[in-house]
Amino acid sequence: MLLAGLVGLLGACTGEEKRDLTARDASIYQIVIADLVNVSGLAPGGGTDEEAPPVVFIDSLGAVPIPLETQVELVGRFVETYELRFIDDIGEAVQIDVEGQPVRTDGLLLGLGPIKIEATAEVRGEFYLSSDDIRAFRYTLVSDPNHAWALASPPAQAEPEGFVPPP
Amino acid sequence: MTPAAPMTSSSPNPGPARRSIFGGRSILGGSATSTLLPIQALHSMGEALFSLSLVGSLFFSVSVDAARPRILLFLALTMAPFAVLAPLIGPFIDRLRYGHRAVLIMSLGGRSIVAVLLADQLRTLLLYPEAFIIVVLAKTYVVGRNALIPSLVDDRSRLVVVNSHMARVGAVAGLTAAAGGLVILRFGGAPWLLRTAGLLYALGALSALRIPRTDPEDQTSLVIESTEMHGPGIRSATSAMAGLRMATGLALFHIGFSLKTAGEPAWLIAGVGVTAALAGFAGTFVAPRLRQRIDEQTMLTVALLLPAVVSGLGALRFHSATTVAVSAALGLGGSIGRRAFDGVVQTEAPHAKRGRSYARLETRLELAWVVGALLAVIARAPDWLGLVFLFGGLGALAISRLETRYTAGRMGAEVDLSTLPLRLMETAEAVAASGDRQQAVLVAIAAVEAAELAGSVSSEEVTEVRRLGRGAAHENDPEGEDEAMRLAHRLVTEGEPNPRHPGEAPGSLGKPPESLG
Repeated sequence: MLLAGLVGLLGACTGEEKRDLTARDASIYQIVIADLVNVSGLAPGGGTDEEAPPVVFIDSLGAVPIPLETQVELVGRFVETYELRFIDDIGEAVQIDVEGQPVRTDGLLLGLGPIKIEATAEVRGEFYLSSDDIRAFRYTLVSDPNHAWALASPPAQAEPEGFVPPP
Repeated sequence: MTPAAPMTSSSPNPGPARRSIFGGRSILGGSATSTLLPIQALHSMGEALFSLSLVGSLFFSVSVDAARPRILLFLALTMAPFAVLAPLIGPFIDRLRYGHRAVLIMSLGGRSIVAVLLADQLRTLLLYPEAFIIVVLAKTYVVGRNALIPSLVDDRSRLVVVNSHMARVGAVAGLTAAAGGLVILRFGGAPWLLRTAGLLYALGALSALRIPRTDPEDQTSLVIESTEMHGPGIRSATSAMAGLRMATGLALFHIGFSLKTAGEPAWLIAGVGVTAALAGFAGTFVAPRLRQRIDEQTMLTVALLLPAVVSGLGALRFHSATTVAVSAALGLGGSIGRRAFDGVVQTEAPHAKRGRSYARLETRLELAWVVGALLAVIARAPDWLGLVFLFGGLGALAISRLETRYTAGRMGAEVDLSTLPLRLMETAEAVAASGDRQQAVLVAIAAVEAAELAGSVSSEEVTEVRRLGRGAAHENDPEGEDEAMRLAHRLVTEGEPNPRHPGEAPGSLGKPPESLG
């Protein structure tokens, strides 16, 4: 009972403001993830009940991991089409010992940078299919008066920084 | 380890007990303890399904580093009920006729409700508090059950056997449920695992209503019970068991994090847990055979050394197979250690029946588990380093036990055994004069045991004094206590000269006491 009370208290302390920030970041990342998955050609699951959705591993490219609340929100938003798995170590997603270092379970590895918010939101996204197939993009997004986010322009290709191909 | 089972009043058939891994009524030592069997089975089945459901939860979707603060918070909160509440409400529960039964019902019923709630929250942040509430309630069940068993066992010499059968029933039920759970997971998903677990917990809570009441007015002296439960043997066994529990908590989180970070599939992580359960099951069969060769304290040292060595070897090359081996060694060591621990408590605290005495021990063990888990989450050490830590911690504990044993053995050899029985007998009579008869009888038994060590009393005579003394203490019979004291006095003062000290004759305490107190 005491534990339940403490849990309730903790829940109450989670402010409205934090929830708004989480929803905003999740909306931005959702657009970036959807675009990166689309560019990589990884088909979504959910067509049949028999097959599990493909796995999309996600690594934080920033100094700190993407907040847990944002991770949970994103997992929920993609649950029907992709199984998102946030990782701490690249070995969690990539078969390091295999030639070409492909992604485990025939999945996809994405890298998401921190979100820079000014007049627009800027975020860096990268995808990794194997050591020979790494691409990076810079995304610029804008918000409408209803706080709905959308790409301001087509993503700009960039040099990979998070997943650097072997020399 | 235990003498042949005497027939209990609940055994209608005087023929040999049927051998079964589940144990029969006579094997369990009475119908009172056999009512715990289905509850234990339902608890274990629910736990297996709950653990399996976590495979389909957020635990494997979010990054460990992001989840770490939350896991730390809830692990710390897990400690609160054991560290703060248990010492406060333990004596209160003990005084109620259905106190420990109520704890079991509350634990199973609570988990039933939370499991059903969790079924819809596996992919939300409520997973963490709800899962940890289930963990706390499961640990409360273990403490409550282990505190209840001694008061339900008709014959104290069956305590180890009863606990072994409980462990076997739990392991078989848990593994069976896990196999069925895989089918549920495949066709219904993780939420249905939790709904099924909720049903099993609810059935367990209903079954717990059948547990008979315990007698809160136990006549055993508090002093005797407390003296026995704080004896050096029990203290040493508790610290060894706490070490094993701490290692188990540490290994669970360390190996889980390491396998996830290494990209190993969830089924392998579940497989590591199943291996530990199987090894624990095997341990219930290995322990009695081991006991035929070595005593319980040595068994505990072996139980520490086994996972220490395997962890040390595993640290040389961390691999999924290594983690399976380490968890198997910990499961086996934990099971052997538990049987040995029960044996030590049974032998050295024959009068302890109060739930609170056991609850205190069990609470310490559960706290040790939480501390181990906290260490793993705080340190988040590289995979090999965690195993080095296990090797170092368990190895150091085992070596310190060996060293203490060696030192005690050497000191024992140097003690003048010819005067020790007399000094102990003098103490016993002084205690008797102060009015604590039961305590006096205990010291008198120790005096006769010392005389046996010195070679002046036979083991049959020691057994006779023990029988008289324990019987009298159990029935609160002053005449029996007098008789035990007189016999002890006669044996200690009139025993044959010590063959190891032929020049020294036992001293004399004068006339044997006519009456105590």
